Amino acid sequence: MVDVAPTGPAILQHLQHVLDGQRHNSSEFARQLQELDERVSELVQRKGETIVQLAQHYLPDMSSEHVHQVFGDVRRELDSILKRKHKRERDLARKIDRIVSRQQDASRQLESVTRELNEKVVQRERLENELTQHLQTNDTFLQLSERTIDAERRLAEHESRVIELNGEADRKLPSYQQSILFQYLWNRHYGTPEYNCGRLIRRLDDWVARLIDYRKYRPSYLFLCTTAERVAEEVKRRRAEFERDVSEMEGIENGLSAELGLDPILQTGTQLGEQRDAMVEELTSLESELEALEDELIELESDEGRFFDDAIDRLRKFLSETETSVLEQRAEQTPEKLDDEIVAEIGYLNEELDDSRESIREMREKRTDAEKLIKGLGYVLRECQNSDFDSDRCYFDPDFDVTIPIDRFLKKEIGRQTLLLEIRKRQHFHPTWVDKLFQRTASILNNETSRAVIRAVAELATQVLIHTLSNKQGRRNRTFTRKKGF
Amino acid sequence: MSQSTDTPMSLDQIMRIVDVATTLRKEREFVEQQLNADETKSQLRRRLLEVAEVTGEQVTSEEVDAAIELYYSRLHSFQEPAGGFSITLAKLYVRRVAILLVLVGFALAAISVWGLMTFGLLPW
Repeated sequence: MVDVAPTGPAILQHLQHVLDGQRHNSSEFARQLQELDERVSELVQRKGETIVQLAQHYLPDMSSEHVHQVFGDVRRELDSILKRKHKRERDLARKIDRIVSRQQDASRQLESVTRELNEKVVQRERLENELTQHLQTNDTFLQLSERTIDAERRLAEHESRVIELNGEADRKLPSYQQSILFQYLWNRHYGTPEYNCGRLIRRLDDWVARLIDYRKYRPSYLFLCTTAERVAEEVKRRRAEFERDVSEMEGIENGLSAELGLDPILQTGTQLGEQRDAMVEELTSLESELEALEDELIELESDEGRFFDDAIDRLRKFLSETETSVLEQRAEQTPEKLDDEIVAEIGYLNEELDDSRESIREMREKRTDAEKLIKGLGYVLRECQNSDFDSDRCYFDPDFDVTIPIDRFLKKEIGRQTLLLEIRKRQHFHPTWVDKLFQRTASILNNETSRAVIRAVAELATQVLIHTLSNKQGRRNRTFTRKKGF
Repeated sequence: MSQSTDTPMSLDQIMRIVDVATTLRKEREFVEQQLNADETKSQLRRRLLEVAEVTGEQVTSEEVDAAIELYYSRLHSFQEPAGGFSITLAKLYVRRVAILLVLVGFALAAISVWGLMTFGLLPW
């Protein structure tokens, strides 16, 4: 059986599926937590009422109305705290639902845009391939490209030579300029036809010139003063010639490109690329918004939430006023049956409360773990989207099974960075049209020079395309030639 | 333009044109030579190694490279001879106008003071 290489979009889909599963788990845990919370509230309420019964039974000095009033106040306050907590939880859940729904919409749109973009890329590659074939048969373009490639290389060398000459002049000229003897002779144009003076002065000037060996150094001074400028002029002229050749090549390429109808494809591709980038950005921002809300939700459910603190404070105050242990001790001492039943009820409620609290703790841990996994998977998914996994050219090693690293991540054996690395190191891209062209041509042509020319033409054509794209009013820009994926 | 087709050019004109053409050619050659300085250096290196081989000198290519670099770093470098009597004298000579002006100034000042003193225009 031949292994089929998994594609980038398939891997993305799988990651999305796992992420959705974890989200489902997390919301299930949240639902169970809420049920447990409600159960605890109910138990606390029952326990409160039972304690009040006991207190009424044993505290004759305390009026029934007073006990009802005290506990009623506490219960109302606790209820109010709980209601506020639930209200905030509901708000957060609603917001999270809205964001998840927006995320799903954006993901669907992203998929559709990416699909369209991939179609355009295929069309573009086909047309660019045709364009390259046309350019390869265009003699003028071939000659120009050969010339410009050589000229560009030489121009770079020449420009560095100008810099070298300027540096030499800067280093060596000061000693000429600081010598008053040399400058005297230079300013009098000594040794040139312009030099004109009497015999005595001429003799004395000859003597000065001999002293500093002026005849030897004058050409050097002239060289240092003028050469860099003269060479720079020539390099500038050659650069202009080179630019003319490149413009001519661009003209040929533009003409052919217009004939083949490449421009509208590129324009649409650019727009789609921009749309896709905006969607990826929106998804990233939604993800961070979601993370912040989920963090707040977890905090609400934890022992560190502000509602929990409020409730604890109020309960502490109430318990300091009503010592249940005192009531229980007293129940044991009396022969009456009623108080024993009440105490047994309190004991049962305490056990139930302990069990529920334990369940809540376990559920919270599960929820926190699920949220961590969601965060990690969300990060990996975003990074994969940014790495062009949705490109049709993206594929993975045939033996690569993405479920293995994902399972290890879910079991917390590896972190999110390792998961991303595991996936990325198996990612590859099918060659671009230039690579394909070169491979095909190289297999046909044995002649080294011909191969070099064809490759150079292909590379130059790419450069010219990119250059022209970036220069012409959004007709083409780099967004369309997105990273290595396209 | 039409003159060139209608009347033949004089020898002087032809010579001038030839001069200009020669200057331009030399200019181009000079610039070309400067642009191909690396080529010149490698030719020089080759020649030096050939010479060393003929003369039986034990020279490594690194030594030749170092020698060439040294040569080019010193090429066109100027250093005024260190001070001596001749140089001091030469410096005085090249500043002769300034020195003369200063001396004349001093002389004029001295004459003025002397004159004023002689004619009793000064208090002492």
